[in-house]
Amino acid sequence: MPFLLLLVLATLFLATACVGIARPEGWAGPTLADGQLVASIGRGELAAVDTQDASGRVIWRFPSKDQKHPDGSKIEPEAIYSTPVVADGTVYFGDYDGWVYALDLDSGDIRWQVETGGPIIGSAVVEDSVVYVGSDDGKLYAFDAETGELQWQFKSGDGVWATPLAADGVVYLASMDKKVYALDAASGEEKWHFKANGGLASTPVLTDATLLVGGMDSRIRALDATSGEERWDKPFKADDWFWTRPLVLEDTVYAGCLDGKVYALDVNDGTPKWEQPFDTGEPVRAAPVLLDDVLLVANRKGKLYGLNLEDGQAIWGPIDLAKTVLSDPLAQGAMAYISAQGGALFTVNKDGRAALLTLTE
Amino acid sequence: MFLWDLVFINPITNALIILSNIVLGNFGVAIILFTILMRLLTMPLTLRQIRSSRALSALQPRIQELQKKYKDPKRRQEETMKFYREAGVNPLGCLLPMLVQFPIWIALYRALRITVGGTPESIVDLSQRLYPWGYIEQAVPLENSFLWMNLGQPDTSLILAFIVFASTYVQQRLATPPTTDPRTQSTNQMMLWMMPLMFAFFTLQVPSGLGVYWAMSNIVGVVMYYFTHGPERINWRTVLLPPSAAPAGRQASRREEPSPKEKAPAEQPAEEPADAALLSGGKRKKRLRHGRSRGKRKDRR
Repeated sequence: MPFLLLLVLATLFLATACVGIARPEGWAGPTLADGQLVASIGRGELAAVDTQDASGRVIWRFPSKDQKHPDGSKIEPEAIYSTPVVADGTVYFGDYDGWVYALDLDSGDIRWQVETGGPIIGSAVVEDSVVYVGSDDGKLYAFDAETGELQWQFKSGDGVWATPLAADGVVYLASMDKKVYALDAASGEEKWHFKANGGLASTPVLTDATLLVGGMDSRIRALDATSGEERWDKPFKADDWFWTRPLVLEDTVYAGCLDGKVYALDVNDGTPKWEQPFDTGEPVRAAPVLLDDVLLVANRKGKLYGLNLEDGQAIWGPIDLAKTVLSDPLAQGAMAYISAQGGALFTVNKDGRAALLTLTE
Repeated sequence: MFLWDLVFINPITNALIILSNIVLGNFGVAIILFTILMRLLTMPLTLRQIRSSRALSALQPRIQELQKKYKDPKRRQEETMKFYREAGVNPLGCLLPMLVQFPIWIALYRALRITVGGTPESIVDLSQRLYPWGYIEQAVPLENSFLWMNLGQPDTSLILAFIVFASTYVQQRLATPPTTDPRTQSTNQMMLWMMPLMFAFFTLQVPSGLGVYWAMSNIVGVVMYYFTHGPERINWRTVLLPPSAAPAGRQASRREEPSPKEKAPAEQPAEEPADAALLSGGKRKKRLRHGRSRGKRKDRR
């Protein structure tokens, strides 16, 4: 009997050991600048791909063998969630180990690197030569885009997972402490804050002085960008969290939700515009994007749909990429680039034709 | 897999989050409360295990006699099982509580990966498992640090592994029934070290929240043993010493074994301690005298 017990125990834990500890995979989306597609092509790995070259030539990879941290240690990002942004020939992004990097777009060389106090999950934004990036240590950092020198930092009550939004001298920050902050872009001083009922991990969107933000309280809210007061009579409530960046087109906000549905709401009062939300059947973390006049939606299972903007009906789909998709697609006219987990890059056009992007050295 | 999630993982995940909300977001305290609740829920099974262990130990001399008497393995097996049936003992009865714990462990392991695993992917997964109650929604994000540990990651400081080792050893030492069979004795001896070592090793591999559960579960088990047996019947010095340091105890237990007919477990389930070696000296002497006088009375009859 004791041997039987030992055997059962050993089998049990061998099985659990196979599952292992939860490891971050990363969901950085691609970005395009000067004909180069900068995208995550593997866990903790970034590359610049020449989009003019049909063979998908890789121009550089990050990290390369000889790239090191200031203390001489090897750069080995655990995962990259932060979609790279490009400004003035420099690529900015953060990694899950807490480092913020500025790379030369042409060569991939490090221009500067700074360590924050926690994993970086949201993307950086660059506005007026300042790089704003949030960290899981609860802080929003403002770095000089040229040198990486810290301009100011703002401490919220919990981790910052959302990408900040910078516009008109104000930085809007959604934090996991359930608050939306409006900060002075020059000094980092708080102008106002609004408290929701759940953590906020989705990136806010600004339209006509209205700030739209979705949260883990399963609600989307419209806030007055100058005062932080709610604009709708009541926030729109779904069946699960909002973790996508909403897309605003004219007077409609399109938002994917972890309940698997895509909602179209009136920006003015938050009322649904479609008769029924479009149900993809799996959580939608990737932001919806527009391919000409088709709304592209990707769910976690990698199923793509092209939706009619007016009524939310599927024009095509599902197209199965057979990969987990949690990153925001990059729309370029009638085509989009999609980064799937594990590093596979896909293209999809407005007619629903998808293709795997092959890479060569 | 869907049923498994529905019946085990999701309820445990939500229970942990509710408990964490109750204790103001401290997930470590939530795990401790969860452990105590689980031990209370499985208490009838634990008591049954204690009774089964005692009954099995009481039947050992007779079993040995049967083993000597019947050389044919098949016949020996039949007679042994027949004897168990007559005595009203299920030899696998002491395994049940352990088997019941397995799904809880696995589900808790999965629940910890989801709740305090800490990766953004696991948080997306968490959203799919939460009950649609505002009370639960507001608890996210969860605090995954407790004392020196990140509950979603293994504790590499060895402190938790040591606590798990020590508490498993003590719990094991208290729960192991005495036996007269030298083979069983050596197996028990091996188990006494193997189980704590295995659990300590697992603690280094799995999220530390699970290690907290194991350690707390053992501690609650020891406390339950303390209250079900009474403080005067446990000699802590002997418990903490390796069993080889207390041969007299094993001898004592051998001497006080009653025959199955005289002491059927169903009739007297709570009289004997699980291990006579763990009794304090004075109490043990009294019980031995009592055992002998009972034997005399029987002889007279």
